[in-house]
Order: sequence, then C-alpha cells, then structure tokens
Amino acid sequence: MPKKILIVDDEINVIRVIAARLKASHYDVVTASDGLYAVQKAHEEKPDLIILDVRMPVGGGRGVFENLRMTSDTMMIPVIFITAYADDDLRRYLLEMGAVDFVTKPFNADELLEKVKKALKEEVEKKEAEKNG
Amino acid sequence: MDDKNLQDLEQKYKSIAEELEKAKEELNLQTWGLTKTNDAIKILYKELEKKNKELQKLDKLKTDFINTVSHELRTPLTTIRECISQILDGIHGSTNDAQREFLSICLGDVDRLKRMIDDLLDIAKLEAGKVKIARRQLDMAGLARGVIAAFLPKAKSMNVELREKFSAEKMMVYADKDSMIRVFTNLIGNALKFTNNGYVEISVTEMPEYIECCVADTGRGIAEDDLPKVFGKFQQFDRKEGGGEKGTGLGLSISKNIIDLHHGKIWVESKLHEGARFIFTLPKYTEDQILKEHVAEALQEAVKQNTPLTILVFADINSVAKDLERLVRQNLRHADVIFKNTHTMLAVLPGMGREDAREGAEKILAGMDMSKGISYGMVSFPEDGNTAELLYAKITQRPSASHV
Repeated sequence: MPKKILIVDDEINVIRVIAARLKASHYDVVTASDGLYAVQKAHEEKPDLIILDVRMPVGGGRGVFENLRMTSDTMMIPVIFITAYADDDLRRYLLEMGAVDFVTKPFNADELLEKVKKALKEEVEKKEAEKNG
Repeated sequence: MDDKNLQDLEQKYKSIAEELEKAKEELNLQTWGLTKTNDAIKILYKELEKKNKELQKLDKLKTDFINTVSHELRTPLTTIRECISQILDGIHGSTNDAQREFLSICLGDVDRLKRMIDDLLDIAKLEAGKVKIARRQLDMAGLARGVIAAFLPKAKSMNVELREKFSAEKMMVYADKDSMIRVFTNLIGNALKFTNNGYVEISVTEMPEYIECCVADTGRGIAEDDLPKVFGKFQQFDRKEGGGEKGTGLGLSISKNIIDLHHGKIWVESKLHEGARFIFTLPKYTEDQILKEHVAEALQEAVKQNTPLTILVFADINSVAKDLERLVRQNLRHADVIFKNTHTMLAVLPGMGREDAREGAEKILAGMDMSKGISYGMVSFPEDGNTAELLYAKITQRPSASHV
C-alpha cells in the first residue's frame, strides 16, 4: 500500500509542485494550507509522514508541530520541515524537539525524495523494533 | 587691648568676612553649575536610553528583514525550479530536444539566482553583525587539504594542476571551521576560473604571531586599476570562456567579511597576465587569549541585550572532563564550554543570572561521581564587574564556592 504524505504550506503553488513530485514517485498525497486545517487533516488521515512549512500565517509550522506532538495519535508521525529561514537556532530547536529532517527552499527534488524515503524507512524500522520488543 | 590692636583685629575680621562672602558666592555658583550639569546628564541619559531602544528596534528590523526577504524570494523560486525540473524529468509529458535545451538554460539560471540570494543574505547577515562564528582551535593545514581534495576532479578536468605547500604538517589556528572552508573554496574556485593552464598553488605558512594562507595562480591576473575593487560587491572581471557555474560577484566580499570577523587581513597581489596571489592571515591565540575573547564576546552581547552573564568555573576536573562536559551541554543548553587547561573547564552562560547558574551547577554535580572532588566557582556580570578584564581576573583566581 502506498505511503501517505501530508503536505502543509500556505502557498498553494508550493503544495501543487511538491504533490506532483511525490505522486510521480508513487506516494499518496493529502494537503493543507493552514495550521488549523493541518492539525485536523493529520488526525483524520493519519499520514505516514508530514512535510511542513515552518513559516505560515495561521498556527505557524512550529505551532502545528508542537500541537501534533501533544496527541497520542499524531505524536509519532515523522515530520520534515521546509524552511527558507536562515535561523540556525530554530533549526537546532526543532531537531531537538524531534523533527526528523529539514529541506531548504528552493529545494532539490532528489534531496527531498531522499529525505522522504529515509524518514519513512526509519519509521518502519522503528515500528518493527517496537513490535519485536 | 589698645585701640590700634582693636582696629587691626576689626580690619582682619572684615577681610576674612569679605573672603568668606566671596567663597560663599563662588560655592553657590559652582553648586548652581553642578546642578545644571547633573540635569544635563540626566537628559543625556534619557536620550541614550531612547537611542538604545531605537537601536534594539533597528536590530530586530534587520533580522526580520533578512528572514522575510529570505522567505519571500525563495518561495517563488521553489515553484519555478520544481516546475522546470518536473517538465525536464518527464513528469508532465514528453518534451523535445529544443524544449529540454531551453528549459535547462532556465534551470541553470534559477540555480544561479538561488546562489545570489544565498550570497546576498550572507553578506546582509555579516554586515548586520548577525553572523555568529564558532571559533575553535583547528588545524589549518588539514582543513586546506580537505578543500583541495574536493577541487581535484574539477582541476583535473580543466587541466590545471593543484599544488600544496605547507610549512608544517599541522598548523593550529583559532577560527570557525565552516567559514575557513568557505574562504578557501572561494579563493581556489576563483583561481581555477581565471587559469587556463598552469597551476593553482595553495600554501599555509606558520609565522610567529600569525598563520599566512595564500592561493596563487598562473592565470590572467588582475589589472592594476581593478585591484582596489576586487573585494567589493558584484565585482566580476572577465573570466575565461568555458562551462561551469557563473559566480555571483559576492564571494570575495563575503571572504573579506569573514576574515575581518576573525581579526585577520586579506589582500591580493597581481599584475595583468602574471597570475594572482590572494593572501590572508589569521592571528595566533594562546589559551588565555582564547578565553579572554570568549568572555569579552559574551560580555559584549550581554551588555547589548541588557541581560546577565554568568561563567561557571569547574576546577580539579581531570579524569572526569568528558562526563562533565556532556552533563553541562545537556543541562545548560546555551553554554559555551571552554577548557582553560586539563583541570579547569569554563561554562559561559549568556542570559543566565547567578541563581539559575548555581541551580544548574548543583544539578550537574549531582549527576557526577561524588568522590571525584570537583569544585566550582561563579563569576558574573554585573555583580563581579562590567569589563572583560575584571571578569577574567576573577576567573583566573582559584574558584571558591561549592565543593562536592
């Protein structure tokens, strides 16, 4: 069954291009263009991975992330942040909080796909390790 | 007493009274003057406070501007790049050769635009004083070797020889690793761009007070008129024809900013058709000087932000240094850890007052083996002084405080 990825960005065009790239690589895609809707979609769709823009008007990427971390059914979903930020402190903070990776805009498609693949693989390995005790 | 004596006394008394009156008037005048000066100082102080608030506001505006521009420029570039890339990758149907050729040209220039934005923002951050360099003792020869190795394939494809000349196997310098890699990458990259055949020689030489690094090439050289402009922004001189990325014209400006931040010097020696030599020097630091720099920089930031600063001095650490360092980094996230020598470690804690620092230290030592006999002391701004010299003097005294 194809993996499901939730893309969250307030720029519709960014969502469109990332969705097209991911669908071409055989992923299922769901999208949200603001923070509140993102949290709602995460609960409804239970994606295998979330690609989340750091800087958004409603909720903000960081706010969404912290919110998802607080509920049991969304806290384990791996998150890759997209950022144009030059802020090292923010990156360090989010990685320490548990974000699995970062992609900087404008990103290289191969780099994004590699990071998506790696995050999903690590998630599967983690779940298997938990199952085996 | 006879009349003459009385008169003399009266005269003397009058004279003293007059002098007293004069002195009193002068005193009144001076008091008035001092009051006025005091009032003026109070007004100046208020002005200074106001200017300080304005400067802080301006500082925040600069950071917000840099971050906003970064985001606003990069977002449309993201969609442009991905659209072109996806068409080229055939995701939206097939394309003919001509379409692919022109789309590739677009992609190349989108990437060039990205590099320009990156460089422009780097310069903006450097000039706004927003770049924090993390200086450590590093081996400059080793670092240079690493950059040279990365350029070998490119140099080989261009038929240009890369030579290295180091005065010693290892040469330690106090610098930020990523910044130094950037400077070498910029200078070697430039040298290759301007050299048709011949060689690019990278040398690192240890002098008594400084390390000197030089990237010399046998390329077309730089005209005397152009020499003063070389480190300016958007300076691009005629490069040789050929493939490869087009530069942004900002690399040398960024390199100069980086070297300035390191209190070093950078300059160029060149004549047209006789190659070019780009040279930079970095001062050498003793352990004590490194420590003083860390303290001075932290203090400068504390004064600027109007926040406290505490430095924990852990003594007699010896065999537990690694464990202690780990615990400090875990519990005091923003600590700048410096080893003064093998038995003393400092944790510079920006924004932290004495009480919070003490709490942190107690927590750390509670996690250590109690038998190891580590002691710690605290030196803080503003309590222990408001200059780097005062704080440093207190640090180098034997710490007196808790003993575990």
